[in-house]
Amino acid sequence: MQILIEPENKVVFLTRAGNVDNLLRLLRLKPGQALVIRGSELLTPDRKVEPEDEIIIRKIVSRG
Amino acid sequence: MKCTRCRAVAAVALPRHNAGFCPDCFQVFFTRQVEKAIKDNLLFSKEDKILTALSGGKDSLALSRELKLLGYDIAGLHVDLAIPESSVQAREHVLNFCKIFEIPVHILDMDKECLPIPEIKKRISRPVCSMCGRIKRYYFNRFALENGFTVLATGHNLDDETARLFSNVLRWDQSYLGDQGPVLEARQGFVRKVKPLYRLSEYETANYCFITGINYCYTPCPYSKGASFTYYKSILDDLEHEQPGRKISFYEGFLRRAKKYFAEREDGRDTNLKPCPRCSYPTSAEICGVCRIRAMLSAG
Ligand code: SF4
Ligand SMILES: [Zn+2]
Ligand SMILES: [Zn+2]
Repeated sequence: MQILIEPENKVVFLTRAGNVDNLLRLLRLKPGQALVIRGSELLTPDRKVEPEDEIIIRKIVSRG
Repeated sequence: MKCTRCRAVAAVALPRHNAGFCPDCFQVFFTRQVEKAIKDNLLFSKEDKILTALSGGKDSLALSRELKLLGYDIAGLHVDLAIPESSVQAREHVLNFCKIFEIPVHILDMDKECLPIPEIKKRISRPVCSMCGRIKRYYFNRFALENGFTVLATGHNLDDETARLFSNVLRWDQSYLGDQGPVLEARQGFVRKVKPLYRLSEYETANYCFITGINYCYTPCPYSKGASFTYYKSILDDLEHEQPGRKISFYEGFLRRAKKYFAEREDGRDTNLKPCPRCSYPTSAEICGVCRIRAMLSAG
């Protein structure tokens, strides 16, 4: 699974994560700290993610 | 997870509301939170001429879109800080957004005002954020008063507000606690200030921007490491994760039960404000803070 992390624009690959909750945990994020985007869709923590998915993790950044 | 309102697939889970919403219902939820903030605190009415402080970030753009759609009379002001790494992007996002939503927008250039933030940064050793914040408040306030706006609306959200409250409580800062809240009434030389997004978290405004297609600026300011409250925000995030709803109950509990004790003590504190001899902005010092920054810069 290809994961693009914004705003750093860093790409990481994970073989499997199960669901979004677990994916966030692997990336050391809490559900309220990032949007999880697949295509044009936002995913809630309970949603399953598949190995062929391309996911964007958009961290909520405070610009001060 | 299903949408709490219509049972479609949920796009946003909100543990503190014990709810999840599909994109359409999330927008309804968001609008209701803004309307509730306006109504509960009598922030403004359709008669008011509202100036929104537009940084180009998600909160200020989400706020402006909502107020525009709710039919309020708004215009935006963007203060261009002349920071090479981020100001160009911020300004572009503001201009594009205002064009799409047909919101009149004004820009004030800190380069032209001889107050570019990087030059200030070079001359001081502590974080530049407090001076930057002072300059922004100064220009938003002045612009609002000089152009007949009755209210200045900012995009401060629940995370900003609880982090500030937490910090004020840790210091038991009576004066700041007395002033904290979603509305700061107008007083001599200061426009009325309101925060209509105070019931919504940063996460919620980010979701809102995604769902409504608002293209916001997330190029971080290179000096943001000095931004206030970053650490308190992360502590409060942990707390909210363990105890959903903690932030709003902390904040609203303060407004309902504690604020009055601090506000009472603050009566009459403005009596020593007089106009700055250089720019006539109200100040309790000899010369106002922004004129002092300007003097520091021209001293080389
Ligand atoms: S992070 Fe600090 S210096 Fe940068 S825009 Fe915000 S207040 Fe100004
Ligand atoms: Zn729905
Ligand atoms: Zn002055």
